[in-house]
Amino acid sequence: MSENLLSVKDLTVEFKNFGETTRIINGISFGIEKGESVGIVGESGCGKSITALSIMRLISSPQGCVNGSIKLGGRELLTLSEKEMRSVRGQDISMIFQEPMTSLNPVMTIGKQLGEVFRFHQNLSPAQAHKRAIEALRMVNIALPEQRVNEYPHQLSGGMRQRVMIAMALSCRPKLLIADEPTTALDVTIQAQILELMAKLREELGTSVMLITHDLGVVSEVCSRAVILYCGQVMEEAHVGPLFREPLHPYTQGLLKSLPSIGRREKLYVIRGTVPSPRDFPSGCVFHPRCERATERCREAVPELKALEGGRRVRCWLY
Amino acid sequence: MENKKVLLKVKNLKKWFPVKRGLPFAPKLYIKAVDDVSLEVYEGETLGLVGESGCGKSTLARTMLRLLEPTSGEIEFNGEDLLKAGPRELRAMRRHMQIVFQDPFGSLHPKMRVRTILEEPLIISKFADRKGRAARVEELIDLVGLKPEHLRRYPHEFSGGQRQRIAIARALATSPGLVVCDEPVSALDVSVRSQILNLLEELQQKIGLTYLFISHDLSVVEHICDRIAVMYLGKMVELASRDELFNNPLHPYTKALLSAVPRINSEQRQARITLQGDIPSPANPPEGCRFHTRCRFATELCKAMPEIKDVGDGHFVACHYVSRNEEME
Repeated sequence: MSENLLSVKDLTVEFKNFGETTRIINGISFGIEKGESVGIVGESGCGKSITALSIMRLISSPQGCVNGSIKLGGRELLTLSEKEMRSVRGQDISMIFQEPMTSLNPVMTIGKQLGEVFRFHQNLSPAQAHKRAIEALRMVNIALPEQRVNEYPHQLSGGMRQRVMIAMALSCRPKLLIADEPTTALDVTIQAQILELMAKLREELGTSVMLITHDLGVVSEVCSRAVILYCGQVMEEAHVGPLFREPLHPYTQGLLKSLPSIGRREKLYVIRGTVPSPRDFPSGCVFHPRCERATERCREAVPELKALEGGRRVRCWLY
Repeated sequence: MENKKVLLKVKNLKKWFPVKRGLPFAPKLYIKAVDDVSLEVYEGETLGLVGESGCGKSTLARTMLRLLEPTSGEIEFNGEDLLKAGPRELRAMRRHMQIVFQDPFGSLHPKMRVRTILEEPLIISKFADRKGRAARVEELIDLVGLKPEHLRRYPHEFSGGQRQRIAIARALATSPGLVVCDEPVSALDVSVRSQILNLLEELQQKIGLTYLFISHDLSVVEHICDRIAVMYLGKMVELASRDELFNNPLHPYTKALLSAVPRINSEQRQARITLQGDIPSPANPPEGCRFHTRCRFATELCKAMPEIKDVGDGHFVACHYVSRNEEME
């Protein structure tokens, strides 16, 4: 097993609101190896995006309080100064967001925005940065990059904007790319283009990818390993093959059974109830009120995240 | 499709939105959101309408209910001409066709209690007296799996799935025959989505509803629909029964669309056909076959508009390539 590029240990994130502290993330641990692509899966409100923002150190204190350890290539990120962190962002880790329209600056040309990365991290002159911006656009297969570089975000389509975001994120050859629902706002045929592009660039540049998504289909096609989150905790972690062939945790099983899949037309399985609000997470196992196999023990005690063979981990009293 | 009653029928339906001209005497431009679509919805079936964003599927559905005035074409609902109906008649006919929207956060009035929300369609359609309405409202809330005490609450007190249940109850208030579901589960989480899909199916069996189900999610459409129409840039490119469409897609666009869906089962995965480029702007669609700019098989012939043709068993395709293949065989 090769060295972990990113290792997150016992990450907890709390938010203070009117004197009330809400714990959004409760002791998440996972690692990403070099060149690996890991999917972080969960429903809305399970803490996937907060995990990503914590790794980027984008959670603002004092309202948000991040504890634990996040190491990138052996270097602790949580104790870096803001200035040191700025050189890490974009250079070592970069991130693409769900909505490419809101994450690009509408009053700056594509070229200026792309060039900024080069000017900041590599101290290039404006002319050189412009040249590199064109190269970056060519890398993500944008037609006529010389022309596009002078256009504004509103002149591009959704898929093209997401390509620009990817170009920007990968322009400094980061070690880790965090993609937060990169294809959720896009149509399926465009989604297929973007996922293909990301896979190609990952191979060429050797970047590790952390893909955040709620779409299990995307994970099974793109990632080698997946971490299933629920209510700020890791429920299950496994390689994609075994995970989808025989999911262990009742939550993962429920998720997979409740998907309508092509070629199967029976009544859909339903996970009863809804995702609890972070303010009143249930006692014991967070999933027990919705679990069909819950016992007295699940109500009272929190199960440990147990390591099984084959690098699998599961948080359930059944195992 | 023998002896099935046609509930809603549209013929050569067009909806063109005028675009503001830059100069006073510049030629008039239109966005052809729906361009010459003919379609029949049979009683008791679920007809799926799929396509990517901007292909005109929502516009088509809204025009079919005359929520938008069509530019030209014919609409027949239950044998009556919907376009000839005056405002008063139209209002009476609306009782029989209702719609559920995508966003359960935007489609419910935030300052109305659930009881008022559900009662409103009953008042408009002059359904019974106060007592009768109250009884109907309780019946409705039970029908969608919520409790009578929920009636006193406001929409913000509910989760997304519950809100969508309320929106469905409101649509069912006047006992419509046809319910248009415009992406009803797109805004919901996976575990909640299956609850709503099951509810829609249960209701269909219980009350005998006809659905026009719009979605961009092919696995959802495959699950719930009997027949599926595929749209691309305002045109219907293929229409077939569910099994026929998924097992034997004929139009190159349908093929690409089906292969682009991420699958969990690796055995089900097909060779992916990745389309190049983006969807052209509907203000300036390509001449001839709308898909020819992205099509692998496009030839000179595709610069002319293909007719939508029946290739057997109610499987309609609009593609020169397909009809040419037929001739060759």
